[in-house]
Amino acid sequence: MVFVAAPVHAQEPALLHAAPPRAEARQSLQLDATLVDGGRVLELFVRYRGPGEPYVQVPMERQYGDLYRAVIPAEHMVSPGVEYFVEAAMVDGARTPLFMSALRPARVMVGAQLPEPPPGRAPPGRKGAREDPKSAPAIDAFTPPSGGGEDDDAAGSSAPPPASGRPAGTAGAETRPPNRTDSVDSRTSSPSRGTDSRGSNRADVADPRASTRVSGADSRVSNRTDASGQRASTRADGKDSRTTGRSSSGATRTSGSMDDDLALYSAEDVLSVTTLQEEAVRTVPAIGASFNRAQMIALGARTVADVLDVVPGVSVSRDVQGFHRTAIRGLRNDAEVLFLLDGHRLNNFFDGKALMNLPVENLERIEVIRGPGSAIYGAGAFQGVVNLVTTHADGVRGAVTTGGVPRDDGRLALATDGHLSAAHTTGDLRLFADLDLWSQEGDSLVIDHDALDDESVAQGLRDVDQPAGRTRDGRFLLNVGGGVSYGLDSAGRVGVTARYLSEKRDALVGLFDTVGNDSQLSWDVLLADLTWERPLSGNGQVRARLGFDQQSTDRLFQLTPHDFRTGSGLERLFPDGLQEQTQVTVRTVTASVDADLALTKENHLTLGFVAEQQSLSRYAYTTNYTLDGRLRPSPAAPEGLVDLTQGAASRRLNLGLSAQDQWTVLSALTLTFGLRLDATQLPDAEDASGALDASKMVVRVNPRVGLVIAASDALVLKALYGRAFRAPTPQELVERIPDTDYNQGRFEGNPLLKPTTVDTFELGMDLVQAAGDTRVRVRANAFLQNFASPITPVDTSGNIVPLRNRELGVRVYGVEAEARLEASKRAAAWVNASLSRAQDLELPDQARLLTDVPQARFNAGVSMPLGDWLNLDVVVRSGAERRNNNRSTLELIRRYEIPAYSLITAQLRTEPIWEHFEVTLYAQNLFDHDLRDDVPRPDRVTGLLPREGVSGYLTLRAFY
Amino acid sequence: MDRRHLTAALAALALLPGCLAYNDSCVPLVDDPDAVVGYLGEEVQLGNAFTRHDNNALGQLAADAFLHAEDGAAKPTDLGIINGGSLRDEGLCVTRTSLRTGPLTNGVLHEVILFENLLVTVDLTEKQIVDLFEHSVEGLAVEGQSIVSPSGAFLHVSEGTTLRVDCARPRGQRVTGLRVRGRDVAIPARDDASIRYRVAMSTFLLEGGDGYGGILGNAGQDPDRNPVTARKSGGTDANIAAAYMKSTYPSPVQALKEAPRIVFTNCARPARPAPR
Repeated sequence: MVFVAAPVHAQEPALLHAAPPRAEARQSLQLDATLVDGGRVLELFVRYRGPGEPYVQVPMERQYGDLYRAVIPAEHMVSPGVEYFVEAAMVDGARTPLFMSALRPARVMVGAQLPEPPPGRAPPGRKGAREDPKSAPAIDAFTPPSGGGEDDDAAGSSAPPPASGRPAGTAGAETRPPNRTDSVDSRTSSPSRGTDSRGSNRADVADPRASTRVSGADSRVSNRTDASGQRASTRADGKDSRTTGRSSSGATRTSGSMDDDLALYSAEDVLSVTTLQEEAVRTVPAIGASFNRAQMIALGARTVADVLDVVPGVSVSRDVQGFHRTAIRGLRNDAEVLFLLDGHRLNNFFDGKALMNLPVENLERIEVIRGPGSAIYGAGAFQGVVNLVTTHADGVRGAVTTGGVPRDDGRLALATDGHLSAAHTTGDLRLFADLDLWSQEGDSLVIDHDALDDESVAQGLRDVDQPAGRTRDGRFLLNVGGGVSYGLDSAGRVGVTARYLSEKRDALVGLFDTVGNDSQLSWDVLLADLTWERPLSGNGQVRARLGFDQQSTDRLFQLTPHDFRTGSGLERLFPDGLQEQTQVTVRTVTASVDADLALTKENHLTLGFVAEQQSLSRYAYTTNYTLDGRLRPSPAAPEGLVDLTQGAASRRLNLGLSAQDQWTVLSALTLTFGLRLDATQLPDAEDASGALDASKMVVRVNPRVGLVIAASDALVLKALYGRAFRAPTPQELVERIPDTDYNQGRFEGNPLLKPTTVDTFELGMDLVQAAGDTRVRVRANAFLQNFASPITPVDTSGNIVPLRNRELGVRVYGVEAEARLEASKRAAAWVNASLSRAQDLELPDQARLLTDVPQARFNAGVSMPLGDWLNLDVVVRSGAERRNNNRSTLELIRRYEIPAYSLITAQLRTEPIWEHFEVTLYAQNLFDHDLRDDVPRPDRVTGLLPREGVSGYLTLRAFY
Repeated sequence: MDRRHLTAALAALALLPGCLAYNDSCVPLVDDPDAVVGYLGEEVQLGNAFTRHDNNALGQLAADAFLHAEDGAAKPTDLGIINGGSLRDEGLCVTRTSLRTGPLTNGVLHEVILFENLLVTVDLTEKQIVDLFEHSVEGLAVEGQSIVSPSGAFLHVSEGTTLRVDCARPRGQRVTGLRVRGRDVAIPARDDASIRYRVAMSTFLLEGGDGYGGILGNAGQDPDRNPVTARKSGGTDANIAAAYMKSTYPSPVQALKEAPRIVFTNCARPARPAPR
């Protein structure tokens, strides 16, 4: 049943060998293989590893003729299995994998004889690939990846079933001739090579969950999965396996779910955001992190911000308006972190902010790259890239969470969210739909002082001893999406997806330095994509995407308390307080084409072209007061307001041309060269008229070089360089709002702003070690980032914040490290720490450090079983003391110090109940630590911004 | 795991806090912070109400220094002005509610006149002068009201200038009298662009800070207004004030005292602490 052979080319060596699906525990495993065309082969080695261990090498001894044999010692044959591949030492010194590879080894299950599958549910020809999930869930999804690779209905029709658990040494010789035929996938496009190196067969029908995942994965938006699974094996083995995306995707996902279920080699989390291909985090040419569903659940994360806050080098804070702000490596700027939702940009064209704090229930994975991503994504992928990948696995999933925040008055401020999603595949048609609803009343914490303390007291609006107000954190969120894709056989696959996000929430405090409880912020996002992809002959793929999005924000801020007076007289009395409202609508149309081309088996080229038209189609700023502080009968634009929808800044055409080549020079050494050329349309402020009608195309070149060395199977080293850029947002370029005493804290647009660039140098290492049953993964990296002409709002005037490029730049350097220890599937501990130092080089030595985000972060977590059915997860998040920056005199005298913090979350989580349900009980900020974030005017809002206190939630998840 | 690895990891964690670094915000802004630049003849209050709602000795010192910044130029300067918001009590490390009688050091003076704005002398029309002062006093509280959040736009004036303000009058008509360098200014101002006064002020005001943009327009760029940026003492307001203090108030006998240059009528006045 199991058979894999190498291409039988005249010169190419090949190995005829079949991996046994199963072996006895504690008995040595004999592996036989026949070498074909081995003239240039000096030696053969089997490299194997037990659960979580690094690879160990044993030579294959020549028995006679071209038959070689190796033995895996008995002490390594432990449940649940071993993995191995065969490598040849060539006469020229190179090492070439001949059978499977380090990245995609063959798997042999080790353990007791399994019960026969129920008749009818699985074909008889395939043993050992399944069992009753209840009896041994850990083995359940474990299938030999080097298997025949047939779909359930196609498999086993001709293969004689090998006896389960028999001595494997005989398998090779015995099964060779019949299986040779059998192994040719009917959909293989290069049958002459007769090789199928797909990751695994799809033998999981006995387990509804596993099969759900397998087939469901096919419909994921990232059809890149397909290519990657395919390509990974192809590149590594040097054997062609031209299969359709679907089957290889299934293979990938099977092995993925196997990893999830077993946590056997879970160190190999994947990222697709760095190269547009799914690749293992440890080997991608970037410093990244990936959180899969199980990890997010173990974190107790409810939203994306909860997950991001435990990524090394990343800190999430909130501002007075309630926005979550993501700081990466010591710098915080909304427009400089690219957020993608299934590859579609979420950052708003106007101000760069992203509606990213979505519930995680709908997400399969969150991928984070620290460092530049412009070589792939162009402008905006500056400090980092976060890709949110939604779940499209077949089946139905639902989750309900309810809980809340205890308030001072003893009442519970309710928070409830629900998730429902379903996906189905019928033949070539795949459908998915999902819905998230989120509603929370939110915390209500005291703000003692604000900028209107004196006025409010003087006007009798409150007593001296009364606080200025309370935070308000109510939120309603709707996230609904759906899609359909259809396989057109040779013409590729066409898909349509659409998503609508709608958020309505309170401002946590208000616009700037006053409490405005009646503020209402709404944000609607519509995303739509039409995609097409097609495999190319020669193991390539071409993809095209047509995307559209529209974002509408409507932000109403209450600037003063009710019944506030700006002077005497009725026209200066504001029953509802002074108010302002900003309504912005932006649209983006994107067309992109990219192609993966395998130039040779070691060299892979990705070419891409993207054209994007962004526009600001509506901008309205209205106030209910005049510039001299009188009440308007109805809100209107103040005198002197510039219409931003006119002029060159309101439209932007981006053209990007990218090429990236991944060249595996030796099996241990991969070089990545990437180059992206971006032409961005920006207003030409040097135009004499000063009207900003003219625009110019600004061209930027963003190179990337990556060197990934697999020094040994346990150790991967990386050396990376990348350049990224971002263009100023229209808000930074042109928004100017007439200044009054009540609407301070504004950016003052500067049409002369230039794009800013960053050069990043990174050195990374990734080590996997095993000791007994436990495995430890250690990752660390050091980085240096030089920002040229960063766009930084520095308050110098006290009323408005003029934006400009800081000519001497900003430099950041630091280290990040993480370690994860897995003792079993349910018991794990992890820790990460990061340290960065950011310096504004324009300043004298004593004022250079940028310390408004924690320079050091430390996060740790532990998951442990409490009996058979319950797990306990505890997560600690710590951050170092924060202090105000000293970039300007005003920053110097607006001092604050936010002490170091440690927040603890704890969660009780059941194992799946009746296979379909999971219950968690979760407490956030368990010890009610008084966490605060910075405010723009610490001299006025003296208590800074109070963050969420203790809260508790109960979640029920169901999946079918 | 190897014990050595564990030890190394723990050592790294222990060292982590030592790697944190913060700016030393107490570093003096000048090289010679302890050098005495002059003497104060009385205690100078630095609270908002005193710098933005009343005459203030340091405000007057700065305005005088501005007035004399271009001494020797072909056309003498008529008026120096500084906005109350330029005088700060926050300090680099500690908030100072007042400055004691006696010697004033260079470091403290630079913390009070903190912003290091450049000084520009420029021609203004009579209308602009009057509008400047109307804007300056429009936020003043009427007698009987409490002084809350006084505006930093309030202007202090140089010697030889007297401003009379009646807070009982409506905004825009509060200036009842103005005498600049001994010359009476017509109230309301004559709309005659040929009547010019040469005024020294910080670039902050000239560029429109504190709401003066509408009044000053592009005077700072208009060659017709003959804008001249000060070169003396590096051209910054604090250095110019320090140099002027050194030459004008060098001893406890010749010490700086507040003068009643702005005469308030029907205006709220900050309550001065009893002299110690």
